[in-house]
Amino acid sequence: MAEHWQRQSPLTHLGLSAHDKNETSAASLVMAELRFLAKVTLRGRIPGESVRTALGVSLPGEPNTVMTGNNLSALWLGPDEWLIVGPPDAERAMTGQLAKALPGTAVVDVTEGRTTIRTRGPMVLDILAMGCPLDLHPRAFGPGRCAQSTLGRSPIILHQVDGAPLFDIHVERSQADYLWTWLETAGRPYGVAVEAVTAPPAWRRPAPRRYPGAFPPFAPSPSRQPTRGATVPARSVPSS
Amino acid sequence: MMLIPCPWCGDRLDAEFTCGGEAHIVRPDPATASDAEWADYLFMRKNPKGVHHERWFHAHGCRRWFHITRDTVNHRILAVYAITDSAPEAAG
Repeated sequence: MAEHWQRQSPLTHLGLSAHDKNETSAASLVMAELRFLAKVTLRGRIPGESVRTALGVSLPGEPNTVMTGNNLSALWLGPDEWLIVGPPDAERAMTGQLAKALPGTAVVDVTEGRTTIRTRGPMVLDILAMGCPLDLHPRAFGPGRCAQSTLGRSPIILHQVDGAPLFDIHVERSQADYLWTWLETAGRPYGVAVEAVTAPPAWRRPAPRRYPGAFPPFAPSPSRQPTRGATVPARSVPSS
Repeated sequence: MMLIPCPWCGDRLDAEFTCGGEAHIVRPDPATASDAEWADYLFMRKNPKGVHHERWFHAHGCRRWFHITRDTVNHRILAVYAITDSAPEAAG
């Protein structure tokens, strides 16, 4: 769990904020980075209701589907594995709530492991089809569905957010630069634009609880203050 | 290219999977097995032209192991069953 001042997106060096003022209406593929989304994985036999009570979102039981609620998305990753995605900075409160509600379940904060590329536009299905073996046609895929697969040989978690269509691609941190470049290259003949995304609304715990302040006021103890002019006692050198 | 029916995710491209080789290999008791039996267990695998039981792993998907009965001549998949199940009789 990185602190704010340590945090850096894996796409920082691309300087995306310098390009996101461009016109997006003519582009066939519009891309954006959603930075620092909170991500928590859950593993175990979990009653879906207990997560609903703790976070305000149910766990999907059907494979490769997503449940949303309370500004969170719960993605099915496996028969005993889920990924819960939330707005930035929610991960600490989410893991706290889950660890309390689900003793004996693996609750892991994986926020820093991946970043999210949001793609939309009239050509997005065709461009994803250039490198992804999934059938993303509306007859087979659709809003509220997710899948783990590969895109341009890079492992991804794909989540279709709405029917526009708009896809969130959760990509591993070390592959984010490669995948962003891959998408840009794939879409270049048809027109690519970068857009800025406003931060999603903050997540609130169903039952708010106050946390003590992170940094107590600094007060050095007087006993450890060095005395001005004090001499360091000479160390005795053992005679050989 | 081959579509493999994952019991959880449905039909997916074979590039998402890892083949775990022949299924249903029984480990002999190392205390009583002869050297030949042990070598057979470790190294010897069937390589049939026809029906073959295999283990597969959905590496880029749900990360679960499962069994497949596949015809190696035409790649037709005859059965898909859980990793804990024994080979179906009908599929040979």
